[in-house]
Amino acid sequence: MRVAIEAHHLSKQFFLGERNQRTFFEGVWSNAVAGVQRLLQSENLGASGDDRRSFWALRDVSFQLGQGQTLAIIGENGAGKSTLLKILSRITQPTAGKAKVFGRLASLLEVGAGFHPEFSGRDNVYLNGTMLGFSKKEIRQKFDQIVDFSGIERFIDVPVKNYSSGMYIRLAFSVAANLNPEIIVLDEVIAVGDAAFKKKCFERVDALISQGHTAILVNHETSHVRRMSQFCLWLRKGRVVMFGPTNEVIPQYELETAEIREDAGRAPALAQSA
Amino acid sequence: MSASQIDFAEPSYVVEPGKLLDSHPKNLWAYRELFLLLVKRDFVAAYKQTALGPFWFFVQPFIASLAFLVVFSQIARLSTTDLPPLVFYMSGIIVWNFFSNCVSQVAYTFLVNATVFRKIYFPRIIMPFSQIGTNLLNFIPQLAVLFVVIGFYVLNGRRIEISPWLLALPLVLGLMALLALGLGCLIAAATVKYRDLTIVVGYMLNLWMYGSLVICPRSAVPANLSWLVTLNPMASFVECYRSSLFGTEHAEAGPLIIAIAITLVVVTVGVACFKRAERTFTDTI
Repeated sequence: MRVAIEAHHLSKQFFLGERNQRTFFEGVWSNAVAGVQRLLQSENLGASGDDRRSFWALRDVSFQLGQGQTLAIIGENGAGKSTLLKILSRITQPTAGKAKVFGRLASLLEVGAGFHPEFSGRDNVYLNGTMLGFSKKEIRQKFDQIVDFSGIERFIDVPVKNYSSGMYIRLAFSVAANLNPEIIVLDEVIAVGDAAFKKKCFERVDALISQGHTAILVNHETSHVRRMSQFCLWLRKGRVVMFGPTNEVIPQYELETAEIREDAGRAPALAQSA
Repeated sequence: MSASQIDFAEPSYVVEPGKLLDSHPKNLWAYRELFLLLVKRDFVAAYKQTALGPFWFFVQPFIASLAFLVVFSQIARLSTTDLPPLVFYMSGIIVWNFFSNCVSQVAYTFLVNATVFRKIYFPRIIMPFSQIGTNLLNFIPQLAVLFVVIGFYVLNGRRIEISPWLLALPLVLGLMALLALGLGCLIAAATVKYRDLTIVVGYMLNLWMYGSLVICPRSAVPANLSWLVTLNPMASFVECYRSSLFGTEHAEAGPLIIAIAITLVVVTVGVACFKRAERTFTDTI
């Protein structure tokens, strides 16, 4: 089977604190002070200081996903799901580890970010498509399909600053969903537009998956995960809890989240009795 | 690159620490259409937002030139070679505006595009390239206005020579663009850590203009300050630019060689720093 994504021991360390809040002169000054301190004292001073203000958002995450397979990344807030996606989509680089990606990877919901308000819907389709790495020719071939899907034919030559937020997000979704990136990412629940459009989105995603596109779902309800994906990657505090077929991972995950909910339910009761 | 064209033996890309995400020029070339669309976008946006549209692009150099005419020519009595002062100042102002807009816009790359950069990946250096492209496009109509002013003087019997050296103009503009790219990238990389730097840049660019032969020819610079002008690459480029336009000032070879050397160093270091910053800037900004 052909591989779509291969991740080996991906880790990501973030630095917390004032580091980026400093002004230029404060920065130069504190760097100078730190330099003098290092000269006067032991060399390890700086390193230990960094450790206190850093945390690992992702630690030693490895998995493999084949072409045409669907992976669900599950876990609570702060598990490292978005960090993993950011690394895979080249937004930021890992601190350690390596990942190979075969094909173009595009998120279906965040593409509207590249829209320019003064540009017409038509121009924005091209601008966004080229940002995602498609050629003008490819976009032209899919243009009618994109516009049809979004349902805003009448307004395609109007600047998007005059669009309603619904129109805006429908066009954004439509661009990525119809240009057929090899790997699609569905971050959060696909809650775009009204009920009818939502249904259309789900159908489109199902169609893409059945056409053999590789897909990554993030933060979906377990019912969606069961229906749509074969594999699950369960993360907690940056580490892999479980990676395997959905029907093995989801029961465990549900068991644990149920426990957490129970605990949360008990807490206020205790507070009252006290 | 459609699905069928993907080479599954080789990954489309590899992410790992320390690796420059797109070091291949081939990768950059694949994004040429995005470059053109971004130039178009910035051009359209700049003209659409203002009530008088392109009018400002033409009026601003006029007003600035008139101010310089009064202050430097009438009051300070600075020489403007054989050129009419208005032509001298205007030619300097439009090219300095080109350079300084390039530097300051490239310097804002990470701050202005933070939202897009956090969501979609494409080679970040495309943004600085497109800013410079837009500014080149904006420079052309201003140059046209300058030629109209020259035409007005010629009609009134003033002799202004246009030599074949005019063909060297794109080369001089290219050198200025390179210097602006390098410097802008350097500042952009620094803004990831120090956001207030862009304010300083505005002041510095204003000051820098006075040492860049925009308001007077090299011959009018006092001897004890001439080293400053020699070491200033923009002074040499502005001089070359005017001599390619009019052939009245003769650019000196020595300062030009220094200027080109400085430019090459600045652009290499600047782009390298930019690429280093683009790898993790989303973690801090």
